[in-house]
Amino acid sequence: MTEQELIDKLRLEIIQQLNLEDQKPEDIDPDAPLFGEGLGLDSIDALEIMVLLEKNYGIKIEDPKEGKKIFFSLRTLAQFILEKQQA
Amino acid sequence: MTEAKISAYCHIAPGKVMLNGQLVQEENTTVFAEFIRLVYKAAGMSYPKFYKMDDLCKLALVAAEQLLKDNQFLERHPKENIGLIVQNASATYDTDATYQASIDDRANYFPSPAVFVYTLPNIMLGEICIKHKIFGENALLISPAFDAAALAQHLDLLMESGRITACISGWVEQKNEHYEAFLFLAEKTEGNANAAEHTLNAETLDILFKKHV
Amino acid sequence: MNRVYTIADQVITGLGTDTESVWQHMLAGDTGVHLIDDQHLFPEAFHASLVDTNALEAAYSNSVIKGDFTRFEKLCLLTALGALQQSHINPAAADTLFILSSTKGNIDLLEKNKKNQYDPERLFLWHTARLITGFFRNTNPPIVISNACISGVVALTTAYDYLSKGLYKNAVVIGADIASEFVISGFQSFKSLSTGPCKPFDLNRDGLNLGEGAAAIVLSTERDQVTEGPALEICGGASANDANHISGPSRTGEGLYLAVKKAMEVSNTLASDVQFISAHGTATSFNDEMESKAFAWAGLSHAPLNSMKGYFGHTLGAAGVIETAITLRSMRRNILLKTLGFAEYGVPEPINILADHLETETRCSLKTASGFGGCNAALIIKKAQQ
Repeated sequence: MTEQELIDKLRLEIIQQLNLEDQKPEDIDPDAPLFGEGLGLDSIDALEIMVLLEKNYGIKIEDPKEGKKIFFSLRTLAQFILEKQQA
Repeated sequence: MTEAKISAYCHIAPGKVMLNGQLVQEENTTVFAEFIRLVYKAAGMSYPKFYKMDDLCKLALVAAEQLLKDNQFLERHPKENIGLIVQNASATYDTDATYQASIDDRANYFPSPAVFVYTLPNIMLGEICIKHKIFGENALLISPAFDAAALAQHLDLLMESGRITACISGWVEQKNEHYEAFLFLAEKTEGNANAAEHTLNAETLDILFKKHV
Repeated sequence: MNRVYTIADQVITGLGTDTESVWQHMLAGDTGVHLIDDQHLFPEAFHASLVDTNALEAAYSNSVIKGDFTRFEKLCLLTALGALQQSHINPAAADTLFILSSTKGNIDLLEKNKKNQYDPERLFLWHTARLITGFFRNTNPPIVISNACISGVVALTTAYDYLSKGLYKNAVVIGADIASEFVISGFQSFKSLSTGPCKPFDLNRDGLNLGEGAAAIVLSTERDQVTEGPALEICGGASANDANHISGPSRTGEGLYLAVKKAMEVSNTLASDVQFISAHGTATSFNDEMESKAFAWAGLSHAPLNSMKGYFGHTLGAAGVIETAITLRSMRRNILLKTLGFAEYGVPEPINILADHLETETRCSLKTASGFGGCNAALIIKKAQQ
């Protein structure tokens, strides 16, 4: 899977997992911060993304603090997943 | 007893929204998920957190919105003196079942924090406080049915103690496709409530509660 | 306004099935927190404080309670009975009020293998409360508070409200919560469980230990119901919301600050009067930080403070009642207990954390709690005037 394909897949998965009902997938800027501004996700969303990573990609993150860097944007998340899958 | 008046009240029941005894919205669907979104949209709400909430919180938030949107209630009282006191019977039964389902199968074991956090009935009080920046007393009371006498007593004691001068209170109950909310605004009057206003007491609450279509 | 005296109490935790045993273990610095390796409760081993089932069943068999009660119901009935038996209060009297505090009650009845064994209504706390009043032949509608981890403190402030205004003469306040797969997995999904015994307020704290337990406190407006001196009173309290986030505590501590400020106001207490704080101290990074901010803001940096969570874990809906019962014992016996698990100061604002037991007279204490939903509560307890 290419980075772009994964980004598109993640758009839909995140909307579904985080109940971002009014959000259109194409409106999520892959380089915008997921937390704070941008999508304005919070600490529970960060934990849910960790559940998503385990459920859909088999990747386990033990420490939520690790998540901060990985989850910066949709693109960093996609890159992290691709890295783990190639390992 | 401290004199307090009920300055607005709202009912939400399958397919219907009433404000101060008048039907303000009626929908063909009583299916909660569809109905509550129609009420949310009709109220002009734009609050993305709504979609993350469980059904009980959605119901409570939308009912509170009916009461607060065209009202200066929140400006009349210091935010730390407005209480949230709500009665409920089934706590978060549906959300509990959803969460339990996420842990029942060890082979497919993905406990969800976003679901778990909603397995506490007082979260609906928190969601209302967060949206409207209310800092006052919170109490989630469990009762098999709406108990006007018990609620009026509890509110009177809080007002007498001076810890609240106003409150958002009532009955919010949701289990499977049964849902109903009776939420009202009450505020201290210093004894000059005019005759047309509803006094906060057990009899009045009972009458208003039964005023649904 | 009537004064509200504490008459008797009974506590059941991982440290014992009566208050005195729990107290003696706490004095000895023992902990009920152990590594639990029980696949039924959680797939991986975790640290928690569970009530010893054999001890619980023995206490139950030795009691006058007969019937098919769940673990949660037994905890409620045993503590209520134990407390009442140490008093002369008539639980069936029209002027006695029962108040129940719990976050999840019989939640284990949702499990696959238990689901069809029980009447589904047993899941609801209003049902448990009526089971309790029924057992004691009390015909007043019980009050049930289910407000996350502040439930216990709110139950006590509610008792104060009803009794001080003369609506009832006596109250039996019960707080209880069991350890369950439901709750353990839920807290784990929040990554809020510690990797070892918890370290409240410590620099290296990394989360909480769940605890299972119950307590009942009997209160009365009649001073001659007091059996063990010196007489102690609950003097009122308050709750407040952070209006910030449903699971994360306020970064400023505003909600807790407001609850504490109001509790002091309604009880005519100055910050300088407070000589002991039984804090919430769950040992999560954010909670303990928030508490230090709130207490400092409220002018309480001087007051000796502890968290009891290191002794028997975070007992959720029972916490406010269990920890108040222990506070009463501290005040009667002139010993404040150390914060078990605390070693190195690790919160941003100055508070006076007890690192060792302290022999001192305490005339005025503050009990606080904070919980999911942004809620906070505070209660003031004082030695009764002569």
